[in-house]
Amino acid sequence: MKRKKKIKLGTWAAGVLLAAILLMSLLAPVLAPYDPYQLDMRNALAAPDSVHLLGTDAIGRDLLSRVMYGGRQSLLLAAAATSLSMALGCVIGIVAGYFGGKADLVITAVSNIFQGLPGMTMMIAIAGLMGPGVSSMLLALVITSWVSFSRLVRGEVMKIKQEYFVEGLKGLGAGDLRIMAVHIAPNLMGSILIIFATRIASSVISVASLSFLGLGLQPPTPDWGVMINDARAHFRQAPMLAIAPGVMIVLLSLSVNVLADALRDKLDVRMDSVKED
Amino acid sequence: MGQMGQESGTGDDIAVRNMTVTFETSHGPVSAVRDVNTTFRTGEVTGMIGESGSGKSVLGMAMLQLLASNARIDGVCMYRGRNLTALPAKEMEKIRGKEIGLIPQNPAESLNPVMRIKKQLIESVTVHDPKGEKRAEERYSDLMKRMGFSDPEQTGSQYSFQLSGGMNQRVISVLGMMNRPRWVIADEPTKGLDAILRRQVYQVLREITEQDTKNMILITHDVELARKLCRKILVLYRGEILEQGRTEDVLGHPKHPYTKGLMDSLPKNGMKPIPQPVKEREGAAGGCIFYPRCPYGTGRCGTEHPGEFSAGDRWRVRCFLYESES
Amino acid sequence: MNQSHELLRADHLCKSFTRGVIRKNRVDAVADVSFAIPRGEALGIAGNSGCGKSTIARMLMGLIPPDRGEVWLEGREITGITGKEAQQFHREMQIIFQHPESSLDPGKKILASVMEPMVIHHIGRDREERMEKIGSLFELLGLSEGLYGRYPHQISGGEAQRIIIARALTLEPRLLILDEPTSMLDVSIQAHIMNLLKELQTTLGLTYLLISHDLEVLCWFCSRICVMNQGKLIESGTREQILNEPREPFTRELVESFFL
Repeated sequence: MKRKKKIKLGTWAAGVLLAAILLMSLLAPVLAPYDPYQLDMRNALAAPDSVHLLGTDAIGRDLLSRVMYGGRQSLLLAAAATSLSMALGCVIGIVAGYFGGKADLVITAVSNIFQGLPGMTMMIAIAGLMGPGVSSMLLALVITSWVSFSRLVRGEVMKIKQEYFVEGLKGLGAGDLRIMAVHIAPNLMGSILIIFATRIASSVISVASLSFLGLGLQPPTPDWGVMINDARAHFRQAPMLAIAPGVMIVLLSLSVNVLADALRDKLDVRMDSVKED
Repeated sequence: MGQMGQESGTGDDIAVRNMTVTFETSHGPVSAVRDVNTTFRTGEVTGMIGESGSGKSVLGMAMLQLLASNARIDGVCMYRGRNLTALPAKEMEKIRGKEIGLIPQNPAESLNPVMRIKKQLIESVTVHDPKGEKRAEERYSDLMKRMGFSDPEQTGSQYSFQLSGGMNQRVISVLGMMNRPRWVIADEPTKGLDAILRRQVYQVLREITEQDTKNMILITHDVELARKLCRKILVLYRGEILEQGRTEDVLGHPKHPYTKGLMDSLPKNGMKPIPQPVKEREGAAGGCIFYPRCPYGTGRCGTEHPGEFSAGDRWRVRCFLYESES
Repeated sequence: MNQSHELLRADHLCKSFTRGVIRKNRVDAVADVSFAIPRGEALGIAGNSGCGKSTIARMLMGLIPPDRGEVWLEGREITGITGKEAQQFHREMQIIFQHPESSLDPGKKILASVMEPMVIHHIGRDREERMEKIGSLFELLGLSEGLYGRYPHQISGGEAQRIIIARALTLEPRLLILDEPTSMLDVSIQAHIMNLLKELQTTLGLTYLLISHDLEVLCWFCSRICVMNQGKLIESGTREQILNEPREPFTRELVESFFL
């Protein structure tokens, strides 16, 4: 009898788009027509033609191949950073929410400080302090995004802790660790998933922005952010150099955001139950 | 179909005819109220009693068009020559509160937590009559005093969360009465209250029926409350009225097997439980809805839907046992 | 009262809570409450909402520590014990709460929830043995095995409360504390559950502490009743004494309120 809820066309399109981008990045070594690092100075800044479908950049590298490779690092980095933030945020949030009291007070104070930090500025500062590179970018991303997980988790845990079933479990002799791991954590899954999806979208943008500023991934790595930065000098001659990676960033973050929204709608409305008296 | 035995709807009576309420859910349509026929007479309190899932609140809210958007109402509810279930939203707003007042369940949730009590109560009048502020003030302090608030101004300057459950229940009762409605529907006024608060609420409701309007519909699971307040009783079970009649008849000498079972399960009658559904009898469509649990059930009850049979003056029972009497 | 017959005794229990952030307000939730429950009997505690009766239940179970006073189970003091000892006494004393639907983890199937206490306390050798035990308890409480695979939101309140009773019984407790077990349920379901509990009293030799605001239910179920008001135990006696010759004005009001 169950009728599946209709999934909107936009959600479908976003899903297909994201799958395509992921597939393309994953299979770049197979799909790319050229080596993304291969120089060809004679062919520099070539216009799109049948040999180089999107043309070449200032030192003659094939743009299409670079675009295909360009998402690999940033996606991996964004995923790793968001997963780390999630793990950190969950542990901190569960501890704060479950035990409350002094632990909660300290954690809340610390998270408020982190929440107040301007994200981009913080990232630039860390990258500047530690020197540009993958590890500093990872650290910067985790530092600026764990709070959004811990705040949500703390709130949810405090709500679940009030539920009668938690008191019932204590009465049955269940320990705190068991209650947190077996009963509270799984109940958080839905809301964490939503935050995870939205955070990953903004992390992709952050990686691109940092790389664009020269503080993240470094040339000659084929990365969309780096590529846009490189393209600035030749924007009038070869606009495709900036447009192609730019479009990819937009498509990626758009598809992730649309999917995150769809996920939120799906998980928030648990069921349309009949109201009885 | 059995004999309808309809009471004629006159004057301000509310007459419900063939009302069915269906909810569209993800599991398909679910009927919460089925084929209800009754007349709420003026000058008396009618009680709708039943347990969870009986549809008593749904029926009450359907009359005021206060159901969720996935509800479909079939049938009519006639009041002063108009069918309330088919009234446009704008027209209905004029009826609600002014003609038919509602004392909702969950008083704490029905009051705006960020608005002072008095302001909310006054607003319930001025929304219908922008110039009626002065009258509203008088009505407010009069009603609040009668409900046992010695200082209406002081109480009115508070927020609902600052008041106790019993106080909120009384405030919500005042809210339902502010516009001097002709009819009042009280939805589960004693739900979740302890004995002493329950008695207070009973006194409030009795006060309303004595001083303001006798035209009241009481929706409750509380059989004792219904016995004390009501002239007529409707017994609902899974969306159908199984028995209706005068209080002394229905609660004093119940005829329908379900009403009998309900009365026997009261603590003061020894808490004898209603039998659990018999597995083999479940799932049979078209028969009596109480058949799976009925100690008197026969083969016919499983296949044929009983109509409402007359068991006396104003007394109707939806059970084949009383077919011959009618 | 004969000491050796006592299963549970509460001695001078006190608990107060502080309310308010700026102006601290101390509220005595429970003030110097003592009582004893003889083995195999059912003791009732009557009182209005907020009189402190649920706080007593939580203190007896060790869910919150008392400010002062002691809890004795079979001649052993169990106030403030922790670890292994606490685990053991959790097995002997179980509590059933007021809100059946929300007393089960919404994300776990019924079978997993019912089996959990046996896993915690290492009862039964394997899954089979535990399943067998659950099966027989479900039968005892008139529950269908078809409920095993359902989630809490797919069952009724009456089923949920019987499942919670079955879950508590997997630990083979001697004492069940019933904190308003049927106040959220319909009268016909209440009748069913209270009858079941009364049967269990003889078949399993259970002892009960029934906490309720419903004097009629208390009188039907319990032989002795204590009346609480504002944290204090003001009167206790047999049900006949409480009903027919209440001494305290509050008790009289409570009895009168009941009959509207």
